[in-house]
Amino acid sequence: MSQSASSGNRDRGCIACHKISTTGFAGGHRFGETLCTPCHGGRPDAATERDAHAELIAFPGNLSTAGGTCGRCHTHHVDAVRVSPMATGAGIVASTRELFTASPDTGKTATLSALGYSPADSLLRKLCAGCHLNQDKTSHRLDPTTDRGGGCLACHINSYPKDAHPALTVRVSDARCFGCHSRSSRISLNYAGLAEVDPTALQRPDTSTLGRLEDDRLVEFVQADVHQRAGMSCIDCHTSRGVMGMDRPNNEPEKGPDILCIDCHRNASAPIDLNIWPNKLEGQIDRIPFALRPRQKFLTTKRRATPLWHIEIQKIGNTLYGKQSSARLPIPPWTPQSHPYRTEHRRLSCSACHSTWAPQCYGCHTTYDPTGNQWDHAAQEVTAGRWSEKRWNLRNGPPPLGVTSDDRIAPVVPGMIMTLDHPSLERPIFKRRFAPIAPHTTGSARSCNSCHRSPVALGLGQGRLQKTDGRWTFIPDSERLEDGLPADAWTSLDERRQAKPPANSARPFNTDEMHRILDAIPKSQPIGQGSIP
Amino acid sequence: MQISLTHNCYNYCNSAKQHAGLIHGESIMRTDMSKYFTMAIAGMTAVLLGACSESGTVSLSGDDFTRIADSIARKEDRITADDLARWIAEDTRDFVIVDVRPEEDFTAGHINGSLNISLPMLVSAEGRKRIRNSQTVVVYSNGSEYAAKAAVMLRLAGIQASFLLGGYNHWGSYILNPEQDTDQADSELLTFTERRALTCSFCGVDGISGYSPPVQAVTAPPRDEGKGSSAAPQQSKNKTDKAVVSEGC
Repeated sequence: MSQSASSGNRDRGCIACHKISTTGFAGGHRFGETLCTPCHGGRPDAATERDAHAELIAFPGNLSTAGGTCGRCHTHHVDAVRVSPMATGAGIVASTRELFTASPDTGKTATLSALGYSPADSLLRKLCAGCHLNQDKTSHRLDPTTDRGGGCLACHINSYPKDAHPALTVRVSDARCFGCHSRSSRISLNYAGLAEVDPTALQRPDTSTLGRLEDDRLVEFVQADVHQRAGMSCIDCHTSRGVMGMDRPNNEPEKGPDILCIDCHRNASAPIDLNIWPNKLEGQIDRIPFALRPRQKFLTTKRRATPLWHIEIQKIGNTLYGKQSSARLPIPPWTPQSHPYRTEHRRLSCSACHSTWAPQCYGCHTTYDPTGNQWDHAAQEVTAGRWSEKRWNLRNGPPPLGVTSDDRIAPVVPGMIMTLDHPSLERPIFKRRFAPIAPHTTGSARSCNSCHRSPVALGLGQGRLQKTDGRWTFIPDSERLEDGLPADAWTSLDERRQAKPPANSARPFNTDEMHRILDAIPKSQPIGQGSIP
Repeated sequence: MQISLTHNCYNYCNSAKQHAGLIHGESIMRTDMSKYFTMAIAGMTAVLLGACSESGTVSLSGDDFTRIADSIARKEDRITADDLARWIAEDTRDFVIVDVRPEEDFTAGHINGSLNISLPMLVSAEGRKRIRNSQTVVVYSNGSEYAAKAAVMLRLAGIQASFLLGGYNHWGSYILNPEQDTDQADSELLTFTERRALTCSFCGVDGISGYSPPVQAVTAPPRDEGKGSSAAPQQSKNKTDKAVVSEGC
C-alpha cells in the first residue's frame, strides 16, 4: 500500500474516535493500524463526524465497492470473483428461467445482479438471490447459519471481536461457507454429517440423533465425510483459484472445482518446484508449512495446474498439512488392490462409489401468493408477492447414479420433482430434473449390490426389481405422477418415460446400460442387499 | 542399608551418590547397564534437590536399587513409539503420559492426552497427585536422556514408569510423519502401513474433526401431539404431513 506518512497522520482523525480499530490486524493488513482510508475511504481531516463519514465505506468488501478498496491490491482476485458463479448465480438463473420458458437463458443477463420482474426472476429475487456474493453486507456481525453476501468479507472475516478491528484472513473458516452451502445441494451440511429430515422424524422412539439448526431446520446426524472426521476444512481441498475463479482458461466460466480426488490420492501430473511457481500465486510460498528441501517438488491440480503448497511429497505417500488445523495428515494413496474391476469401472467417478449418502428430496410444490409480501433480496426491501415452497419425501441414503455430459458415471439427486404454480401460468407446471452432485459424504465404497441390484441406484426409484424368464421387471413403490414415472424415479427400464435432460447436464442410464449393470454380477446375488463378493 | 529422603536434601544426595556407586559395584557391572541409568542416577540427585522439599520422606533400600537396576538392564524402563502408539489407540487408560519438556515445547506439539509436568514438579506432592491413580507412567522429553532420568526417579519413588525411546523428536518423525524407502521389504511395508494407520488416529481421523455447525438438541413432542397422524406417522398417505415448508431451498 503506497500510503505516505502524511496519510498516516491524516488517519489519526479516524483513530481519535475509533480507538479499538487500531488493533486486530494481521499479516499484510497491518497497515490498517495507522491507515484507515485505503479500505474505508472517508475524510479523516474533516471537522465533524458527519463530514468525516461523508465518503465512508463501511463494508469495503462489498463487491459494489471492492474494486476501489480490496481491489487496489487484490485486483486479480476481485476481478475474478465478480464474474464467478458465487457472484453471478448464472447456473441458478438459467435453470430457473428454463422452468418457465423451456429455454435456458445463458447470456450475459443470466446473473442475479440483473434480474427483471418476470415470474422466473420474481422467484429468484425472493427465494434464491440471498446466496449471492454481490449482495451487500449491512451489519458488522457473523451468523454462521444465515450469513449471506458481503463480497470479499463474506469469506475473509472469521470473527468480529468487540475490542478490535476484525482480522482479515486467508484461513477461511468452514463456518463462512456454511451460510450459503448448507442450502441447495447442502454440501456443508452433508460434510458435517447432518441431513435435513421432515417433521415425522420427531415421532421416532429415539430422537437423540436429531437437532435443529439455528434457522430451525430439523436435522439428523447421519455420517460425516471422512475428510471432516480427519479435521480437514473446506479450504484444505478447495483452492483459492477454484473458489474465486482466477486464471480461468480462455476466461471461460468455471466448469467445476479446481480440485479433484485424484489430485491428492492419485496425482499423475508433473510436479513443479518454486522456480516455475505461477506468478500470481507467489504469496502462497510464504505459507508453505514444512521445511523446504533442495529442489522441493509440489503436486499440482489436474484441471488448472494449481500448486498444492500444503502437501509435502514424501518417499511413500504424501502428507497434507491442514490449513486451519495445522494437523499433519498422511494421504492414503489410490491402490490397484483396493480398486478391483478397474476396466469395468473405468467410467465411474470416485464419488459414484465413495459417496455414502446424499440428501434427496422427491417432492416439492412451489407456489406464488400475489396478495402476500416478502423480502426481495435483489431490491433489498419488502415487495409485493410471496413465494413459498413445500418439500416432502426427504431421503438421505445412497444416491442414484447417472451419466454426466463427459460420459462419467456420477451420483445424481433430484434437483426438482415439482409442481410450480403462478398466476401467469394457465395451469401448474410439472418438472422433473435430476442433477449431478458431489455429495461430500466420502467414506468406504458402497457395496456391489448397492448399485448392481438397486433400483434406486439405476434411477428407477424404490420398488421391487426382479428377473423372470430372462427379463428384468420393476414394480415401483411410489405412485406415478403426471409424466408417468413413479414419484421417486428418473427413468424406467424401457427408457420410454424419462424426460429429456437439459443440455450439458447428466442423463439417466439407458436400457442397455441398465441391463449391463444388472447382469454384471451373478444372478444369485440377492436384490437390494449384500456385500462385495 | 536404607536411605531416608528427608527435608535434609544435601544428606540424601550424598547418600544417594554413595549408593549409586555401590550399585555399580554390586549389580550393574554384572549386566549390560544401560547408559540411561547412569545418566539418570547422576541427574536425579540434582533434580530431587529441588523436589524433595515437597515430596516428604521416601525410603529406599539397596534391594530397591538392585531391582530397579535389573529392570533397566532388561530394558523394561522404556517403551517404543510403536508400542505407545498402540497403547493410545487401544485406549486402555491404564497409563498416563507425562511430557517433561518446557511448556513452550509442549504448546508447540505434544502426544495426545499427555500431561505437561516438569521434572522437579514430577516428584513434588502436587505433581504426584496428578499421576497417582495411574498404573504406569510414560515419560517423554525431546530425546531419551532427560526422560530416562525422570523414569528412574519415579521408579525410585515406587512408581511404575517408562520413558519413550527417542522422545518426541522420534515420535514426530516416526509416528506423525512416517517415511519409508521404496525398496523396503514387503513385511516392513506392512508395518509401515499399520504405522500410517496409527498416524491417522493421532492426526485426526476418527479423532479430532472439522467444523460442525451449531445444532440445538430437539425435544420430541409426545407422540400423540406431534405433527401428522399419531398412529404410524411414517405410513401417512398425506404428503403434507411430512412436508417441510420453507422460503428458499
